[in-house]
Amino acid sequence: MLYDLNIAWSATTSPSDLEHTLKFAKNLGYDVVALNHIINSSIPTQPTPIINPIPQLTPPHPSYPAPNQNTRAGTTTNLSTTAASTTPSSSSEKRLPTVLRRVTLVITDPATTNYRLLDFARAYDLLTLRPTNEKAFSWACLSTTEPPALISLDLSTSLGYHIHHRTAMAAVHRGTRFEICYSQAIGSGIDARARSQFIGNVLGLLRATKGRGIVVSSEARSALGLRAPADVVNLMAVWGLGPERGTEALGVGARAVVVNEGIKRRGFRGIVDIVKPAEGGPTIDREETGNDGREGKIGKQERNKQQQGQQKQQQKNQKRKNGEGSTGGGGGQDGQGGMSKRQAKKMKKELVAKG
Amino acid sequence: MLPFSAPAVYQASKCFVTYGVMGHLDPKQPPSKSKPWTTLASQDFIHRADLIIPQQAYEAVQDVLIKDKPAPQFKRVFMSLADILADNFLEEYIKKRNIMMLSEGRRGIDNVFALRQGTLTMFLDKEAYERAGLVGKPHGVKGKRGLKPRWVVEFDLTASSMFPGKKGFDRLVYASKNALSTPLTWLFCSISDDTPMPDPLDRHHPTTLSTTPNVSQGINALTPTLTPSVDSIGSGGEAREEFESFCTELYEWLSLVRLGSPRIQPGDQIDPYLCRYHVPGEENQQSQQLLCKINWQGFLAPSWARQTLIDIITALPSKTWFSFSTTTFSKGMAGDNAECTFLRPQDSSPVEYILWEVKGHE
Repeated sequence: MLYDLNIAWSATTSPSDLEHTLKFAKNLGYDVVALNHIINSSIPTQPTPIINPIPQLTPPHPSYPAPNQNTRAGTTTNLSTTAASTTPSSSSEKRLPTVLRRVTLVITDPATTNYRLLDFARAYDLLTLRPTNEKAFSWACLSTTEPPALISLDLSTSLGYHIHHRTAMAAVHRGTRFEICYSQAIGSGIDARARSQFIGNVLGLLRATKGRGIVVSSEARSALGLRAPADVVNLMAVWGLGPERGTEALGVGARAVVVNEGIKRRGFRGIVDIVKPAEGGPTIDREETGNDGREGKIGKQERNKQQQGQQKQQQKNQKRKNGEGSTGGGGGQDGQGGMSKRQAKKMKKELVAKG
Repeated sequence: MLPFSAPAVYQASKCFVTYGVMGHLDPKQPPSKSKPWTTLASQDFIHRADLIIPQQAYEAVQDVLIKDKPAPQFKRVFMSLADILADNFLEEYIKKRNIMMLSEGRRGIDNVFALRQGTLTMFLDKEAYERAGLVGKPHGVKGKRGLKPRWVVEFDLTASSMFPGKKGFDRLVYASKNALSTPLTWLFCSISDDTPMPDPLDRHHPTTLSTTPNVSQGINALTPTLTPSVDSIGSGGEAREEFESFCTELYEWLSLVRLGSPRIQPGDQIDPYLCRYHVPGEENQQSQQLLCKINWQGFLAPSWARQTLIDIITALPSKTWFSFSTTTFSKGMAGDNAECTFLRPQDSSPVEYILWEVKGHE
């Protein structure tokens, strides 16, 4: 599965252009794509609810909860997070890649935006920060309340500061990935100075992170800004990111970001999730009790017993599914104790390491 | 610009060149143990095959290769792995006959399944592997601190332990029903001649496609000398260099003919800013010839390629040079594939050959 986590979207993009870009991305081989809404202007400090303006063009990625999800247990299903399609298609090709919706906040003054991050994170599938100065950069790396999914810098301008190894690796250890957008350097309107600035900044970033925790994406405004994955890997290899790391940046690393963000939004605090409810016995309709009389009453008793049996089974199942990553809850969800905080922390750590 | 980083272990393809002498070719007993034949057999699924001959030789070859030879057929079918492991398919096709199948997908990115000589090979990503619960080996770059993102699982389906009811097979069936259950498009080719009645494949409504050869005649080309010079035969360092440069240039020229490039045409005037290719050799060593190219494209078996090469050698007059190339399906993201090119040089003994074998990194 190849991911392109940054296709620039704005409210002025026409739907036909957008569809053209997405079809081209699918043609090049990208299976999952994220439309990026870049918010440059100041973010309102009043707690107005944030609406996601990006249209939902394809069914949501299986990691993420469906939009009209009730919180009943039966609706989450054991879907593979890398399934190309959740519903079987008539031929095995789909016209559009799975589209995620993402926001990039351009941060100049961290003090005003810190507490709005959670609202944005809730409204969009991926949250990215684009710090413009050193203070914002160190804030984004180290001291946001919840680490953002990605930190994307505008590498075609002079950064003005040096990226330190310690800061960058601290961010990577928190779970944030650094994003390199290759269309800032290629394309028709790019002058040589911007390109050389970009290459210098990429070298600095790679030196600071030693190639770990990098995700590569285009920031394509149109289909012309997209490049095939093999070409992107080659391009990054020229600029110093080894070919295996480059493939990882497009595939496995990007997948990790998407799946982790999905897990955070799904289930209880991103730790406990119900994969598959236990199968119960046949249910008996209440409407038929009028006719069946006595049988109906027995039916009701049976039904109660079955429900108890189901609950017990659920508890048993959940208790047994101990080490299964994010799913399977552990003995967590019976009404009484829940798991200890230490266990919860341990599972969360496992999650981040695995994903 | 910056110095290119050395290609990582799993990226570089290698080309092996052999200049040798074939044994006597008996059409009744096709050879399989010696060098050009083992190379042909080692390719897994052949996607295209090309034959380049001088135009005069076309009549000799026309009957044998095009008119009389049955066009190889293959089928495209939409089914799931569970269908392949179903009783009647397994019994009829896999156990009793020799088939090959390849699923859609790119190795290294998607989940790809290949069935060849009774062995089912599955290239899975980490999630599918863990959900399937089968035993496999890590696939790809070694290391990475214990994170193994891709795995290969192999099963020999012709073994006596692969029957429904046995544990190993049941595990595979369980995996195919639960973890690897999405139906995919497969290419199917039957190497044995007979088909079972009733055909277990009919249930999935296959589309049958046949590979008719594509002939392009009268290609006007500037041909270099097709014989290695005396200087290049020998064991000294200089001879080896000479041979290496000869073979590389000749391979490049043959590839351009296969691609139908206009750069090999006499009188080609291209701006040297765009292309600096020159046909190898001095002016007096190049000759202008009419060439003919026959191309097969489809899902072909290596045994077919071997038989075709034998037919070509027996059909062509012994002094004619020819070049036969086979290319496999591409693997991986960069789309590189394995290739094998066989050339019988001009003006030399009819049993001499030069063989180029390009091996991918897997």
